[in-house]
Amino acid sequence: MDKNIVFIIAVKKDGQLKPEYEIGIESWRRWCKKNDVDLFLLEEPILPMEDMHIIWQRYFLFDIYDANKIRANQTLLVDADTIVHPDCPNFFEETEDKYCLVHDDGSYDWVLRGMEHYKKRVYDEEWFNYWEYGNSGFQIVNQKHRGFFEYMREFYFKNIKEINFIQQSYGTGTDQTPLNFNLRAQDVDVKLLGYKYNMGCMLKKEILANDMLFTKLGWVYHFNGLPDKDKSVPFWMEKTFKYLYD
Amino acid sequence: MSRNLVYMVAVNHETSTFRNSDYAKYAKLAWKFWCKKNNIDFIVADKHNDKYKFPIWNKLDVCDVGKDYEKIAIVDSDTMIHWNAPNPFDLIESGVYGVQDNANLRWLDESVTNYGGEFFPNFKIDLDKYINAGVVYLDNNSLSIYEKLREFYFQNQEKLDNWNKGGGREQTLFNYLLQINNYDVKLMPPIWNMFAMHKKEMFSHNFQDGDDKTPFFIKYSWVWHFTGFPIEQRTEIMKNTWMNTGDKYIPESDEDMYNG
Repeated sequence: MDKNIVFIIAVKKDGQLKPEYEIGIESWRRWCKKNDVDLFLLEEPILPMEDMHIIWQRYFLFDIYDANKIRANQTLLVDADTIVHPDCPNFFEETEDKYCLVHDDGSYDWVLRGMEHYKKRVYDEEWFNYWEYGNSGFQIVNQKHRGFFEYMREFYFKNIKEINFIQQSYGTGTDQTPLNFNLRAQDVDVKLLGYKYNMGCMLKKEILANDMLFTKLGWVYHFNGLPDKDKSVPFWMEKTFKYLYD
Repeated sequence: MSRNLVYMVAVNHETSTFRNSDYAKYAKLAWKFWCKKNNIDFIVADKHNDKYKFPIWNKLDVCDVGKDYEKIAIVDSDTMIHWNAPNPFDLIESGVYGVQDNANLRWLDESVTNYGGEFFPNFKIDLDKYINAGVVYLDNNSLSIYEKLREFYFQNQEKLDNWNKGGGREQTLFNYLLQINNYDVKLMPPIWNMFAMHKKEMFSHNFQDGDDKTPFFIKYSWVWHFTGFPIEQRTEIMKNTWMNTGDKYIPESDEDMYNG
């Protein structure tokens, strides 16, 4: 059987990747080795980033595989601002071959504002259950989802004006809200995994603290939703990596 | 008599820092209206039974009060239901239905560690099935969980009445007993018990779009649970909610009750 792959966007800015992203990637490298999973880093954009936001370029996944003659069973697309616990179970065994996400309940204000803007400006008043809304920073897919990724790219170019307007005017994220709408629109079978596999907004859950409680309650730590992120994200990622791996 | 019951404990008691009736009056108004509209019995226990030390334990008597009903909802007196909410009893088959409580994982970890360490040292609770006990829906067969909890309370009354380790009162014990006794726990969407609204930022509205200032919790959930924030704010927030929505309930409520 083809191997599973962890895919991370690691495009350098001014010749350098943020040190905290290097740390996150290193944790995934070690987890992959332990679990016989391949790690793929997207180090160069497929299109100029002025033409397509780098986050959206992850939906070129299957084209990248084709171009590099890579055969994958399942792929986890994960953000670089995450750290995986060394003992994290192999989540690929829990997917039931479905499109897997983790529900994002960090700020329903942010989620609902984004949904309302897209509902009005792009989706012709369509709506879905916000409590099934997933975070796009941890997505598990397989070959069945090749067509959906094509759809995401076509959607992007067809709606680029509105997408950029919403992103710039309202600050409600990049691909995440359209991803959720499109999964419903395309009738993709989605499975929501538990919070332990994508622990976002940990401050809100009151677990990101010096006692490192979060490392006891789950497996994949997503350092988002933090104030003063230019300082806090590097601080917590470095501290977490040392705590778990040194 | 209806086949279904909503049961609420709303007791003023010397052990409570804030007077229950100051905020429970809004809860009662909302539930009373909605129950009448949906032909559901609504029983409020407003007298404390001295066999318990704290008023929260009065809710265990639902196992007696509710025994002749097919389906029962046990709701705290800091909850309100949307005037137009559909009937959650239509969703209830067999088992115990609730909303997963993972809003404050530190509190949760401490609570299960403290209560578990004291009473259930050999049982590992599944946090993915841990539900908020402030709004629970169940069928008649599952009502026995409250009987079990009551038995447990009286077996351990001294310890529980003097509990000072934190982690709440009945909720974690309720969850332990549910899981240890293999009750069929079914998770519902948060719309049926929207707690920790400040953390989830459900009190805000879409300030970027038009004139609709309706808070998200009113627009996008049915049962509002005013907990998880500093308790001294509760009465004011429930009162404001009632002042902003009370006219929706008023046609079948008493005018003088509306005015509090």
